[in-house]
Order: sequence, then structure tokens, then C-alpha cells
Amino acid sequence: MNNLQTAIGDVTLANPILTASGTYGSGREYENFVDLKKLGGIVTKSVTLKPTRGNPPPRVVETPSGMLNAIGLQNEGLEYFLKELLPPLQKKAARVIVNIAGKTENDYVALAEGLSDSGIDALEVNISCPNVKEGGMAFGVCENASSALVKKLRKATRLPLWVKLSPNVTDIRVVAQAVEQAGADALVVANTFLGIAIDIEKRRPILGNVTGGLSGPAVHPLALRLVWQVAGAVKIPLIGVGGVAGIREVIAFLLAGASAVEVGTMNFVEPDLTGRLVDELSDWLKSHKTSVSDLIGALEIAPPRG
Amino acid sequence: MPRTNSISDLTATVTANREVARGFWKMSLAAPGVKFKPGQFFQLRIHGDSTQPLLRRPFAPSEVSENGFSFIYAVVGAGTAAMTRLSKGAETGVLAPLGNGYNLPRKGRVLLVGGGCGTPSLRFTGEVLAARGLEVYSIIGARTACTLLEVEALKKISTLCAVATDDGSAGLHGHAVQAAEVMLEEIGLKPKPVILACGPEPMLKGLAKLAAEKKLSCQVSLEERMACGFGACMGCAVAVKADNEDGFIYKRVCADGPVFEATALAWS
Ligand SMILES: Cc1cc2nc3c(=O)[nH]c(=O)nc-3n(C[C@H](O)[C@H](O)[C@H](O)COP(=O)(O)OP(=O)(O)OC[C@H]3O[C@@H](n4cnc5c(N)ncnc54)[C@H](O)[C@@H]3O)c2cc1C
Ligand SMILES: Cc1cc2nc3c(=O)[nH]c(=O)nc-3n(C[C@H](O)[C@H](O)[C@H](O)COP(=O)(O)O)c2cc1C
Ligand code: FES
Repeated sequence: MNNLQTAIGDVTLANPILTASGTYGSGREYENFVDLKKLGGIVTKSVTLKPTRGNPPPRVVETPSGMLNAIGLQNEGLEYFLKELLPPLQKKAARVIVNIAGKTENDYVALAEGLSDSGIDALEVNISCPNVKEGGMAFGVCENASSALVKKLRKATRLPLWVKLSPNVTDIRVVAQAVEQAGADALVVANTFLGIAIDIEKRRPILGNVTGGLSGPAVHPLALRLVWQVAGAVKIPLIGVGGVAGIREVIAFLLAGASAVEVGTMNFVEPDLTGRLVDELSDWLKSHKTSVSDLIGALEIAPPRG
Repeated sequence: MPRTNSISDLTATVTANREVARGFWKMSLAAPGVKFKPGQFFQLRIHGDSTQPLLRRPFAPSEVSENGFSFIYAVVGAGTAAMTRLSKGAETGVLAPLGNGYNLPRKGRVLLVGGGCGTPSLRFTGEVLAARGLEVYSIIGARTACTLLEVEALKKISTLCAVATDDGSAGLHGHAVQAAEVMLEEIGLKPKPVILACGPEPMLKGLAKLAAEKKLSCQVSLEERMACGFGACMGCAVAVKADNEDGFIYKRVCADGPVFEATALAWS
């Protein structure tokens, strides 16, 4: 096995660098900067069953070493995605993982069925969007709702199910275990952290949606802690996401127990970042005479009990 | 949507950076090979090795040459304040060109209307139009006389150039829209001038109304908070009229704009 290679269940990846949903569109915007084939895979923007208008502006605001977003899942819906966005992406990417989001269980099931024969490599199930009123995080913060949803999806499709968890819970391990038992193939840890920014002169929230999700370098230690906690609680593979800006964060996620990572916000600042990470990781592994598989979970302390 | 020119991500060196009017600075960057169309913009990475500020900042060029470009920026917050501390020789990151740019008329008359930090980018637009032989008219709006930007440069290329200040310290005592109305009276509507505008939203909204009354074509360049600037994040939404239940859909200012036909927007 090549030292960069990794596996998420049955899905082998040439390297552990994936893109984070909602930060990479369907890849097209990055073709100027990155050879998409070079990445482990591309995770698409959340697709909903019907076109989704999204939240009123402003939708983004910078915060210390991070940003809040409240996009509200704006996308053109499944039909358009299947016809216009997916085919070109499949030609250009090594692996395609489609992120789905719904308001109801039936939405998610219809999305999974609609994508089952499309030739994609996995479904990433977004049960953790903090920026929509219905669905989204409502599933992800409740272990019973997430477990029921994943059971239904497990019956509806043979596609690998990667479930993207919400960090906005008291104990992420509870949801992680429920989702594992319901049949998830992998867990993506995690979505954005709920936050708010206030314009002190106007005495008003800056975002049109009032609250938003925090991402970027500022959240990396929080996401790393979540990955490490979940790694001690489940057996299925994990994908670490939150604040990756360089290979230091990639390696930290692997050591904490992730088998791959997703890169989000930093793509906006350095659109060629993901491609560079593959090269830099390869160099680092060579100079340290190690491999991705050797690093996964190799943090040298005992996992927490309880 | 085919890209007419592809986006480069390059390192640009500061060749000059100084205050040109109260609260407004002009920065010149050496960036060989970057080509802009009038109305396009770029994203500046202020410090390449820092996450503070994290996101790039969007600006539009006021002068473009073979070897680089200049732009004028208002110092309004932490990012632009940090920019004033970049001195000659400093390296910055430039992502360019971004956005659609104006749909420039091929002949006839053009009325440029700039407000505040929107004016400098119209200098570049006006110079391109004048070089192509179009007849350029321009309006420059500002809060007060000492924050008027690019007056000399726009006068040089314009058949007529008028100024408006909120406090009456120079030119018309009032807004750029009022000055545009006066100018249109003066120059008449035959042939119809095309309006190209960049400035604060109330100004653009007022111009859209004026243009509709006079049945003139009007393109406006918008600003919205951005994360990526190249169409990937859906962060820079603007409501555009649509034939659906809501009567509008959200489009991306950075990639579908920043220039929109005034009649296409669902003004709030
Ligand atoms: C297409 C485009 C072209 C522009 N061209 C120019 C120009 O030529 N000259 C000029 O002075 N200004 C221009 N602006 C506005 C300029 O980008 C902002 O003033 C600048 O980003 C403020 O940064 P800051 O860190 O100082 O302010 P802060 O308020 O501290 O910034 C916080 C965040 O809000 C964003 N933001 C704040 N104000 C604006 C704004 N008006 N528009 C968009 N984002 C904003 C910042 O980018 C940053 O992400 C342009 C904006 C756009 C969208
Ligand atoms: C602008 C923006 C849009 C996002 N949209 C989605 C989305 O549609 N679906 C989703 O599951 N996560 C979405 N996310 C969350 C990211 O996929 C990722 O979980 C989060 O940003 C943390 O990673 P980062 O710190 O590397 O950005 C979005 C994040 C940002 C910044
Ligand atoms: S700023 Fe990202 S899509 Fe416009």
C-alpha cells in the first residue's frame, strides 16, 4: 500500500485529502487552481430534493481566525444536480461523495434513492446544518432522530453512508454511537459550531439569519477534540473536519483517530490549498518514514473512559 | 457559463501605498500579466502567512497597466487598516480577475456615476471607453470636498464632469443621483447615454429609479460581504428578480456580478 492511501470502509482513497461540503461547490470553481483528480475525493455542496433559495444576506462574516456562515443550503435541487453538476464532476474527480440534506426523513430517503444508481462513491448525510429551520441540525442533535433516519437510509440504498455530525451537542459520543448502530459506514466530525456576530453600533446581528456556523482555523482544536472523543467511542472510520490550514492539522486529525480529513474555509483564502496538502503530506510522510495508515489513531495517550 | 478569462492566484509586490484623500489610500501593485475588464475586481490577501485577517478583501482597480495595477481603498476596518501598514516591497496575494465586468457599449455616450470608494474603479472604466472613442460623461459624489476621488483623471477623459458633495463643500450640494439628473437635463437624451455606476446602495437604487423614468439602460456594480470571491461559497447573495413564487432568487455578487442590469435586481 502506498503511504498516502487510506480507506473509509470499502471506499479506498488515494490520499486522505477531501473537500468539505459547501466550500467547494461541485468542484468547477477550483479547476483553475487544483487538479481535482489529485485529491482523495470531492465532497459536494449539500443537495436538497427541491431547489433551495437560501438565507437573506449578509450570509458570511469574518471572526477572529474564522468565519460565520449562514448560507441556508442554497442549491438547485437534485434534478439539476444529477443532470448538470454531477456528470462533469465524475469525469474530473477520483472519488465523488455527495452531501445530502433534507427537511424530513422522506426527503433524505428520496435523495438517497435518487443518487443510488448515479455511480457516486458515497453519500455524506448532513444531519448537522445549523442554518435551516427544518431538518438539518434538528436530526443531528437528537440521537433517536439521527438513528431512525440512518436506519431508513440504510434500507433505502447500498451506497456507503457517511454521517456528518453536529458539534452542537452536550456529548457527541451519544449520537455517534447511535448512528453507528443504525448502520452508518463512517462519521464525519464535524459540521460548524453555532455562533453569532453583532454590529455594536447598529445593535443588530450582522448575519441575515441572526445565527451562523463557525468554521476556519479558530475551530480546529474543538474539532480535534471531537474526533478524539468519537474515536474512543465507535469502531467505524472517522473523517476529521474543522480548521485545516496545513499538514499540521491534517496529521493531528489522523493521530486523533481520523482516517481522512476535509478542508473547508481555507480553500476560500488559498484556492490551491488541497492540491498542495497532498504533496506536502507525501513529503512529510517520507521524511518521517511513516504512512497515513500508521498515523491513524496513533496519539500516545489512553482514550478517555466513560 | 464559460469563463472568458481564467483566474490567477499570484504574489504581487507593493510598489506604492499612500494616503490620497482623508481616509482613502492608494496602493500600487506589481503583478505582471493580470488582465482586467472594466468592472472586474480582485481579492487581496493582506498577509500571506497569517490567519488574521483570515479572508481576502475585495477591491476594484482604478488604473491597469502591463506590469500591474493600482486601486484606492477607504480605511474602514481592521483589514484596510492593516493594508495601510504595507510598505513598498511587501508581498501580498492577489486573486484576479474576478467577476463579470460591465457590458460595455461599443459606441455612443456613457454616463459614469461614482460614489465614495466606488469612483476610482470608474476611472479605469472611463479610460477604456474614452480610448475606444466613446463620449464619456461623469459624476463624482463624496461626503465632502476633501474625499472626492479621481477628479482630475475623470475630467481629462470626460466631455462633462460634475461633482456633488453631501455638505456642499464642492460642486452640487447634494447626492450623485441629483447631479446625474442635472447632467441628463443638460446633455439631453439623444442619443441615449448608458449609465454605469458604482457606489453605495442608496445611490445605486436612486439611479435605478432615475434610469427607469428616463428609459435609460443602467448597469450597477454591487458590494456584498464575500468569503471566496470566485463563486464557490454562495456567501455573497443578492436578490435578482425571477419568475417564481418568491419573485426572486439569490445570485452571487462575485461570480454572477458584481455588475447587474439595474432592472434585473429585486431592490429591497
Ligand atoms: C466587488 C467589490 C469591489 C470593491 N472595491 C472597493 C474599492 O475599490 N475600494 C474600496 O475602498 N472598497 C472596495 N470594496 C469594499 C471593500 O471590500 C471593503 O471596504 C473592505 O473589505 C473592508 O475591509 P475591512 O477589513 O477594513 O473592514 P471590516 O468591516 O473590518 O471587514 C469585515 C469583513 O466584512 C467585509 N466587508 C466590510 N465592508 C464591506 C463592503 N463594503 N463590501 C464587501 N465586503 C465588506 C470585509 O471584506 C471583511 O470580510 C469593494 C467591495 C466589493 C464587493
Ligand atoms: C460557506 C460554508 C458553507 C457550508 N455549507 C455546508 C453544506 O452545505 N453542507 C455541509 O454539510 N456543511 C457545510 N459547511 C460546513 C463545512 O463542510 C465544514 O464542516 C466546516 O466549515 C468546518 O470545516 P473548516 O473549518 O475547514 O471550514 C459549510 C461551511 C462553510 C464555511
Ligand atoms: S463570495 Fe463566495 S460565492 Fe461569492
